Amino acid sequence: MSWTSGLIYAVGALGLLLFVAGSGGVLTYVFRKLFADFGQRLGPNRVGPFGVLQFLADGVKLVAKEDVIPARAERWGFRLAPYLTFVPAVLAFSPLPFGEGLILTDVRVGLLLIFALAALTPLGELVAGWASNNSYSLIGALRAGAMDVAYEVPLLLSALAVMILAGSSSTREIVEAQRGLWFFLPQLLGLFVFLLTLIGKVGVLPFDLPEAESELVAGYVTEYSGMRFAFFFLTMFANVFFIAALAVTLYFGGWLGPFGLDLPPALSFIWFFLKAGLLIFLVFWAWNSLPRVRIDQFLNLNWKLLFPLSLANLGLTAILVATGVL
Amino acid sequence: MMMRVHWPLLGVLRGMGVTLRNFFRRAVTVRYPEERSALPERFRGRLWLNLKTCLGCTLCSQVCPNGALQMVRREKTEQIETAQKRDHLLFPQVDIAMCTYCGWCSDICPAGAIRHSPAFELARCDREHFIYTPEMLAQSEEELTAQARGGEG
Amino acid sequence: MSYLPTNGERADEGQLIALNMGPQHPSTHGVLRLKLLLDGEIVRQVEPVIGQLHRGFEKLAELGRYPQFIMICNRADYVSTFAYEAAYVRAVEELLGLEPPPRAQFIRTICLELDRIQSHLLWLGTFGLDLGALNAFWYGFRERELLLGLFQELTGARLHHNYFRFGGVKLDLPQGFTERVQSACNELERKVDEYEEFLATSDTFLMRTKGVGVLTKGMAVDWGVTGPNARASGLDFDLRRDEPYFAYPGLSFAVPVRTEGDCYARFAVRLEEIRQSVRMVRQLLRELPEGPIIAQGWEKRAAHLLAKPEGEHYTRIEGPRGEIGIYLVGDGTPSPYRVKLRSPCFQHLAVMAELFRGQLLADLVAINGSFDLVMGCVDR
Repeated sequence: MSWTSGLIYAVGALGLLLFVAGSGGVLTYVFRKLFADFGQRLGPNRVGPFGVLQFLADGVKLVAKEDVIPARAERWGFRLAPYLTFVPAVLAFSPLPFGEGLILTDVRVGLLLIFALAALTPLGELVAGWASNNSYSLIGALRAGAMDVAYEVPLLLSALAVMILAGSSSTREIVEAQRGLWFFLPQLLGLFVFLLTLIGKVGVLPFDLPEAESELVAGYVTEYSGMRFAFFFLTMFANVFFIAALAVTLYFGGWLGPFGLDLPPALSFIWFFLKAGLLIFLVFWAWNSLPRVRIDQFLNLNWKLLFPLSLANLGLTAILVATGVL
Repeated sequence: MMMRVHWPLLGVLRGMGVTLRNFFRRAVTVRYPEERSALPERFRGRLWLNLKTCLGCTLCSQVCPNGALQMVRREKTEQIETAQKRDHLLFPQVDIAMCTYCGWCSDICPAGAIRHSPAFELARCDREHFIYTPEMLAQSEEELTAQARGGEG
Repeated sequence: MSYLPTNGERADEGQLIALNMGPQHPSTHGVLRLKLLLDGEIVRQVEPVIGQLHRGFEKLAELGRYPQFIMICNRADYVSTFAYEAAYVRAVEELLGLEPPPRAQFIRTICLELDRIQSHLLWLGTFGLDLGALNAFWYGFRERELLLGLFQELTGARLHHNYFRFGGVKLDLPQGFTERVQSACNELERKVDEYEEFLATSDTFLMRTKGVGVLTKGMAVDWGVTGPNARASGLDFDLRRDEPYFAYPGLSFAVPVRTEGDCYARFAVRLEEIRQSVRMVRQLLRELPEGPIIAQGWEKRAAHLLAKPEGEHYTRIEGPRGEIGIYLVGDGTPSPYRVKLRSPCFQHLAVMAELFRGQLLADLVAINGSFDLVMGCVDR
């Protein structure tokens, strides 16, 4: 690797970090505003016009807060855990194509890389829960671990069907393969599984079990405050954006416009963000509407319903592709 | 537990429909210090005393459940216009930090001298400032604020 | 409940997690503290710790005079403030042999029924919140705000009214009040349907409430459970119908009863009670008689300070949470000799501790929410 390409990657990585952190921050504002709208309230309205700068104020508040580490916590684990969740969450964005040519790491195994990185997030949650030395944190972490095992399988199986359909695991090629037909139509079943498991992955309602507020106070983040809490919080909202971006890439044609209404490459990211925005709204909408399920119900749903469904979907896709129907 | 098989998505969608309906309704909350919702006539805020009509009968201090309202003496001078016939005048003094706004004193007052004003923003920096002498009770919250501002320079 | 291990399985002591739920916890509704011993997610042992909100009301009653306790006892259950007020005022009146005029009876009943609605609305919101339906909370509070606004207009306060007087009520209805109550009733009827659509049709809500925390009829009787919680377990008992007081004798209303005894039944019973209460308020407004609002001789409030009932008496009324009882002993002095408050929530907490055992942590929260505890009512 030459110095120039190294520099380009460094700048790209920094840009990605800022982008993910920024979008996570903006999404906290968007969420709070939408949450208020769903409840017929005003929401943040003090900082800046319509309170749009609220997330900056929140950020400043969290950074300025006293950093508390519980006396009997596992100090190293406690400090490490926020980064263990945050860093993979940021890195998982790198193989995502935001527009035509707007992709940081265009590798042939992009999708695998994404899932490998995304699967690291629960590790940080487990470490956080264990290191906090708190019963709520521990139960939250155990739930996160149990859920992770449950949702990863159907998630990967449904993504595998897309890979078969596209004939590639490069995210760019998957989008290119959708030029004629977006994959959500042939993969309706897969999309259903994919979205449900991904909502479980982000851990928002109805599947916010690791952090179930009314049961576990805040789950594995119970003991966290200040900047360390901010990392977990940001990770969650960055993940909301991430799952929307991933779903757009795999099922809704990435940067492609509907009905061949493609924008020039430099502007193609507009379609991408538009579609991602709609999906994010959908996630927030479900978040605001549905009561939480119980942990056993979530595990049953994943193992007994989504897992067979995704398997059937995979088999069906494979057969259809092999026979040349699709 | 057998899960019922009854098109599980339908109920979820109906629930989501309700939230969407509310999404498009106007917000019911207001930006408080700038906008205020109207207070009804009977609203029980800070107590207000009419020195002229107060009889000094002490009923209000007897009925006050918290002992927030106590009678204090004032010497009879030319300045104080009062209905009281004695030389030593009796007026209620209220510790508004202890007052629960139950309304008994205003309800029991035979002369209607002690009443509730609509003022409810009564935060103070010092506990001693919660004690309202009869003279302070006779003034509105705006007048008191203006005086305090003036006093500070 | 295939997830739960059957009885007889005992976890090794060392593997249990001790969890101190509350007194500061999002879903213990105030300051209930539950000392839990968890086997993974399953609750093995529960020990409720109460008394964190004990304010010594029964002693306060003895220290003050009769009228002063009206504004103290409505703080016992700070969610349904009219109920305790009514129970105490009624106890004193019955001891004095005082009969309030009919208009006062009607106004009191209107207040009690609106109070029941707003109490159930707050419960609905917090129950939704316990189950994770965040917006149920806002919706419940939105409509509750309507009623609190009406209370404020009528009594001058949103919660702690101090409105009932011995022999009647403090003030007459303000101008245009009945119309505003009518329109609030219309609004409520629409919104109750919406709550039902929001929660009762939602699968996740049904999954969390149906068959969870079943309180059998026998248990309900044994543990002294009353009110909507008992009616959800098939105990057809409502003091408003069975021992009518105030203006209830002339009212036509149905008492919703369900037999399942689970969290969903308690939800459904309360939702139906809101509808019935709206119906009752409508009827009361229609038949509201003219006349004085307070008994002869009690218009002058100083008479209240001199009330000197003698004897002992137990009065009970149907509060939003169950039977609210006042046991009053007067010894002919202006202060009560003894006032005992019988709180429905206290009884409910006792039976809840039984129900929690062997449940999942998440179900514990659901059961706790469904019983509608108010810690102020438990601790007094």
